[in-house]
Amino acid sequence: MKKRIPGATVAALLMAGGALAIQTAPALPSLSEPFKLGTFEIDGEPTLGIVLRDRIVVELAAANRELERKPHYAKLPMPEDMKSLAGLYHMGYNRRIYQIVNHVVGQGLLDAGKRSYVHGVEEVTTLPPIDPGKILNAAGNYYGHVGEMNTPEEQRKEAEERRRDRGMAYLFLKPPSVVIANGEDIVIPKGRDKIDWECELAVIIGEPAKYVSAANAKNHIFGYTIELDMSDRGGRGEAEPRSDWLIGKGHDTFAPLGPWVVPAELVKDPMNLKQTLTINGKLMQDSHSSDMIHNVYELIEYGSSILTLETGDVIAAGSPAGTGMSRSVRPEQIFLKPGDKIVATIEGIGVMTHDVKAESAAPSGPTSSR
Amino acid sequence: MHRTFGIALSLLLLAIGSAAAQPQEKFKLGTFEIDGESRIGIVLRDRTVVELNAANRELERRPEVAELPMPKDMRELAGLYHMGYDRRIYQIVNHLVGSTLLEGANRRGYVHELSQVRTLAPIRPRKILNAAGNYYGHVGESGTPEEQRKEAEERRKNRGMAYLFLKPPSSIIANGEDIVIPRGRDKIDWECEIGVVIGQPAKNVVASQAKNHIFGFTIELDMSDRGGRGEDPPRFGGSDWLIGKGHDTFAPLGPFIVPAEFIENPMNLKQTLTVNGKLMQDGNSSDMIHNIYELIEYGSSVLTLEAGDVVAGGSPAGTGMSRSVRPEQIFLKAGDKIVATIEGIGTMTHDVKGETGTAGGPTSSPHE
Repeated sequence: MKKRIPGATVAALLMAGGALAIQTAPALPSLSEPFKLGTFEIDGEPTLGIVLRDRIVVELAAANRELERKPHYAKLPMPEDMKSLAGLYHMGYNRRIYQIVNHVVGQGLLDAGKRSYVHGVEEVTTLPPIDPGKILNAAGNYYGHVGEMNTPEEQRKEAEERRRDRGMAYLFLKPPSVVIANGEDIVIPKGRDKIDWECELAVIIGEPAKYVSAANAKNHIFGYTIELDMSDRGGRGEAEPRSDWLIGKGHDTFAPLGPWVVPAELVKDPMNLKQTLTINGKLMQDSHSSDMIHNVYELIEYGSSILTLETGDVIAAGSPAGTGMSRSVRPEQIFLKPGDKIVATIEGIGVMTHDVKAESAAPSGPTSSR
Repeated sequence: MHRTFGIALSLLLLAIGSAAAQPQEKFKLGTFEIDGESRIGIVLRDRTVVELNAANRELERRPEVAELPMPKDMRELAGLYHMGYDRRIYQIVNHLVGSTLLEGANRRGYVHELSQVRTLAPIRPRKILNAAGNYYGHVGESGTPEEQRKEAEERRKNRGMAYLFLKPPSSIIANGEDIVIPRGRDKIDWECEIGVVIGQPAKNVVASQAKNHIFGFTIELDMSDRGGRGEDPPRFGGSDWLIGKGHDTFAPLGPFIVPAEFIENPMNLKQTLTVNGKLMQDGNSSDMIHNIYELIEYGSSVLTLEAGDVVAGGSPAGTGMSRSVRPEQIFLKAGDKIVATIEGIGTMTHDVKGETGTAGGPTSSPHE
């Protein structure tokens, strides 16, 4: 049997001109200081942590349990991993995390020895912040990067053409199994000698997106992180070169991701961030996200016009100028060799540091034997 | 104790104890929605579904059966199958068949008719790697018959290196679900492929060892959008795997997984696909250029194949874009019905629908 709707409610709804006159949830509480979110190995378990001041890790679940013991905080079961949190963040979990940050900061619980769920970032192992279902990377998406393997004049010409007609964005898939954490070694596959770097701004999807316009894309972003889109420029070695993204981008360890996730509301303007990458201290990439051809919102529009972007999916926005294959930035191409050290920084997002190693005890190169 | 019961019991114990190395009948493994949850099921006779977890709990109540925690999903089972879980599933099958628990008065509550439960995609792989241009009859089939023959001959003289591309797991649908033509796209095509499901992770595994890394076989329809990017001049040589293969619903997978030990020779299986009852693909896996073991060698020489990953062996001849098999190209339209069968693995049936209520085609509109 249907429940009768009280006449007064109906009248109120009608008066609101068709829209429900509901009281929306109160605005987020003010935040005592900004934070990042990461995944850490603590007591042998992957554990979600709130990162404060880039040096303190607060275990999310344990801190939440302490807060829940107070009568004026409702019980809220914490997600088991970052992918779950990405979907829940804008459904009220942001509020709870703000409450936790305000509590631990306000009560002075960050000082050494105060709480067992507070760690120095160097005391725990940083894992990749998220295990995405999909990684979609933009190709040829910075004016300074398009055609940079050519002469400076050719590069300028190609960039100019793209400014006149940006064309359609381009995304390719990178396998999630090649993700590594900040600090882990990047491994050069045996027999491959054109291994290159790309320091990229990565968007992490919150609410799933399908046919989302660029104007609405913001509502689907959980946060930002760094992805190094490590690349193998050696190709397939065939007489007729064919595009092969799997060989070009899919080797194990070729997607350093992290160090943590910065919630979207704490990045003022993602399209105005400095991006740098050094090899052995030498500046190789020195650019800015404002050089993107299709901005992060347009990339979400484009990707979601092809397939569903799911919670936790990563979209990397492409590389700025200055990759190793560049002949327009430097006269000679340079590729990575064992012993190199990569440091990549995106303003407000973080710093990734990786040693480059050679692969040990393995046969060389892609093979399909007779 | 009643004498006949005692004999029956000792026979049963014998069956469970010793015959575990051999199942009394073949089975498949699937994922089903039961009581609102996704559960692993053992499929018997292509019509009966046995809930793995519940059947195992019943078996574990016997003192001679060790407790073995069951995996929560097929991806976990793929990694565990050859670590003793195959034996346990054999025990369960032998118990059910031997004690006639599948039918009649003894039928257990965890035994269902296939038609009574919802079939889900058998596995949610982290990676799907599909072979491109991997059947002699498929290479160059968008050309004339002579051009196709020439290309196939060239590949027979020099097979070259295999080619794999990634397909997004978000495009997976189950047997029976609708394939959706994205709005504004009018060159949607079919490809009936053998999907290999990886068991033990593989890195730098040679073809001769690849068998040890196969958990089982399934069907993947590698639905394809031949419409391309529509750019002039084309970037990246006009190649765009995401648009070509990545739309939602473009990876029908299933219906179930056949454990590898039940497929005598995966390189000699008939593969057919019909559209509205008309035979479009009529191939055999023996036409593969690089066989599935070589594809595992190739894939694992690029990256680690993880437990549950799917490697699809490529399409045989007879896709819609073919001009060598049929004089005119044919693409899918709303209302079409696809039935795809691979010998010994199963049959996939899908209706083709148009997309509703959205904008059309890949876009990246200028917003400045």
